Amino acid sequence: MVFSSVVFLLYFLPLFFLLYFLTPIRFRNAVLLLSSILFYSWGAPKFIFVILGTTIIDFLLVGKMDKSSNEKYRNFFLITSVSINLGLLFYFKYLNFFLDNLNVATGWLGISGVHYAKLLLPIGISFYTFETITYVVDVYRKVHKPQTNFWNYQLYIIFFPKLIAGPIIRYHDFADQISNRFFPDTYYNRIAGFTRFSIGLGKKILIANVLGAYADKIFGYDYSAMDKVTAWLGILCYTFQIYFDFSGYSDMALGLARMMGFSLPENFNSPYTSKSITEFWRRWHISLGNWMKNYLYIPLGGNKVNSTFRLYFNLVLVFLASGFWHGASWNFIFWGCFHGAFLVLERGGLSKFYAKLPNALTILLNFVIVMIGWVYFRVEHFADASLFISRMFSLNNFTAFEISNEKIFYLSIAAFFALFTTFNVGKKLENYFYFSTDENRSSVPLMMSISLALLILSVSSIASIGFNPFIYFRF
Amino acid sequence: MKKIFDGIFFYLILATLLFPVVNGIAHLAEERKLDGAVEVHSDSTFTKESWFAGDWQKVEENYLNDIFYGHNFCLRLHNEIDFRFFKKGHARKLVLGKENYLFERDYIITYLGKDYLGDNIIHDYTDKIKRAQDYLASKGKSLIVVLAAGKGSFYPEYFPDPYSKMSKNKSNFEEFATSSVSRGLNFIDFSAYFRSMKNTSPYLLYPRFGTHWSIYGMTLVADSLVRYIEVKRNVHLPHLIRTGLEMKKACDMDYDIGSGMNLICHMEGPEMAYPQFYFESKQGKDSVKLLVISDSFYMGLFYMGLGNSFQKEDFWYYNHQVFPEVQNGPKSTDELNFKDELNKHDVFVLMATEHNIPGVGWGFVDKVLEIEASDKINPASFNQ
Repeated sequence: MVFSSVVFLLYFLPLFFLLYFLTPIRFRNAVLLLSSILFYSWGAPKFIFVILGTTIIDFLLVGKMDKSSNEKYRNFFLITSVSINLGLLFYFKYLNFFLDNLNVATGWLGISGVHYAKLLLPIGISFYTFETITYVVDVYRKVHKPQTNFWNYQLYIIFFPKLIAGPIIRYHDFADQISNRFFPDTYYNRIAGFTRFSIGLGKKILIANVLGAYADKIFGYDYSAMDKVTAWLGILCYTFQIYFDFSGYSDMALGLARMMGFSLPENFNSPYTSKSITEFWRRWHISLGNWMKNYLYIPLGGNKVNSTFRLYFNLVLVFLASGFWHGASWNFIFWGCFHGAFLVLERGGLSKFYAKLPNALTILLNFVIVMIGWVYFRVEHFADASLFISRMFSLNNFTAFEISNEKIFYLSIAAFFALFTTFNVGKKLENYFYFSTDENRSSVPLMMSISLALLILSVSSIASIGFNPFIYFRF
Repeated sequence: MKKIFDGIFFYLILATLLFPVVNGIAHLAEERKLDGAVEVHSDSTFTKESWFAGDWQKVEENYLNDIFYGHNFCLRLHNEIDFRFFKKGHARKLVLGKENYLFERDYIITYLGKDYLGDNIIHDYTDKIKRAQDYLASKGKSLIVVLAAGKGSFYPEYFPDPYSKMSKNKSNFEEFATSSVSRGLNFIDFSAYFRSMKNTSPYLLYPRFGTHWSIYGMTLVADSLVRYIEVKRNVHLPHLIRTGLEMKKACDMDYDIGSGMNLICHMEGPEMAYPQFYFESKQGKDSVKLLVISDSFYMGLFYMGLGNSFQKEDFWYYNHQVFPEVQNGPKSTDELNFKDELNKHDVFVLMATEHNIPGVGWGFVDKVLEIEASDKINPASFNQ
């Protein structure tokens, strides 16, 4: 079940909240857990057993690990748990990729390949695998005690607002909130949460989906005949689509969580206002960046390594892993390396060059670099992506693609909301709607109006998908 | 106090979200229905197998997406926004022209000649019609071909880009008209007739938001058709007598594309003329039995009561669906004895609009020629 569907918005969500808020506080976690299981089962009725099974194993292993004082046993339980989780991720997400490549390699050598059935990817597996790893590692590092109640641990893993698309929550950020919510259960917090949810929904449906349709159209064209205006328009649409889609989903997750009193980590912070790729990764998919930093980069030695080469190696490796995390395909790996390379360049002196340029120019320059990176993210085959980029810099100015008022309107709206926090008024507005906890403000009617307006507009857009009646209704 | 208001606001939000579910159970409110041939996904039965295969969920999602309370309003709101702000319409084959003139794409393509079949195909077909006409005439019956006016040829100045920039080539209906006249078919060209009156008619002959000729234009067609048959058959038929005329916002067939766009608000346009009329009594008039084979352009004439001018009126929609029997359940021409039907009627009208004219009759002419062929072998087969 996805948030941007009628079944979620008008059936699951209202019935869940009715039940949740009518239930006495001590039973609310049970309602939340059961609803989360239903939520996941709806879209992946078989894979729910994979999650339930692995969480039982993790829970038992981590419990044993915590009780053990013998370092060898502790390491054993840690490695076993991490291996099981990464093994599952590898099996479901990467096995097809490796076998495909193996078959290509054996084909070159004239050896017959491995025959296999394509596996379906359980939704959200990349997110919950990383979360189970934070659990075992946090307990191993003694950052937090393990859960004594299995169902509380299950709730951490399967908590539906963040289950499908994050943010990736580290165990120690969430554990205490299961029994002691971060936000008090007030009507203000419920409305503030719903407002953020609605804004996220609007970002996804009213901006990302519209721009996504334009991008799909352009990326469906023959690249070899594409003019540069069309190519730039296509990647610009995709650049905004992916931001509003993903950040919209994160907003929805954070908003829903806040309605129930949970505080989830921010996942985006106006990434397209970054002045470098280094800064971009502090603003884009923050929870993944933090996970990579804490659970991969630092264990590799982080910045505290003896040689510059090793530092650069660590950086590229982390970004290669980040790219690979996004999908089992070479284009994602290349995209990760592309970003890693810019991080290395920035460490190697590019940042000093940026510092000499006006802020607006560095933001623009960085934005263009990110856009070029997105081409590799969007186009599956390297040669096609490179051809697309070559069209972006071709000399052909003529465009056959219609640049209508509608496209200009949506691109302007997207650009405005993606960049408006560079201005003080934008920052204030963001704080007002996203982060304020001042319950004495008289902003609730405004928040409610905005929420309902965005909800109705979004549902209108969802309802219209595929609607294309024949006019000859009488006949 | 603020907390109380916050509580009220929160429960208002929750009530808004819950209303579709509650209404689905309690049926408290009805929605304004959508216009057009709307396809609604069907519901499914829950089974353990369908749940674990994920099939039931997919079907339910589509079904709930179509039937939730507020769906029609939401859809109209979406369409309204798209139309008002971005000049976009959501209906199959709809083309939004200049000044909100609405077209179906086929009419434009046909006018521009982009679907031209070639001289040979059109000439062959008009030859066939002529043979059928002559054969039926030998049996004392009349075959008349009617070219209904099309919106594409009537309002080409309102074509939007890119159609307005496309070159116009010879079209099927133009060649069909030329060929019909040269072969001596009983042929009424309402397309040319409407265009000739476009600037002199006191009332609009074609609506801005409709796909068919206007209701006013239709009364002219009815009158002309009856008079043409009178001349051809040398008979006197009851005439349509106009008693008055009301000017009002476009509605019914004058707004059929507009309705199909499913907007919240009615589109603003020129007032249309709605004649008040009756048909003369059949007493003292000749009796003629009429069979019309037509596309949707005869539908309006059928419902306005053109049958009152004839002793018997039958209408075969696309030579397939039989009217008026359809009101008691659909009936196909396949269930009829074609030869008997030829015997039962005196006048056969084949009517089609511009983009349908190359296939006018939809198989009727071939069937007549089959009868002709069998008549040659067994001359008694056709009872006069």
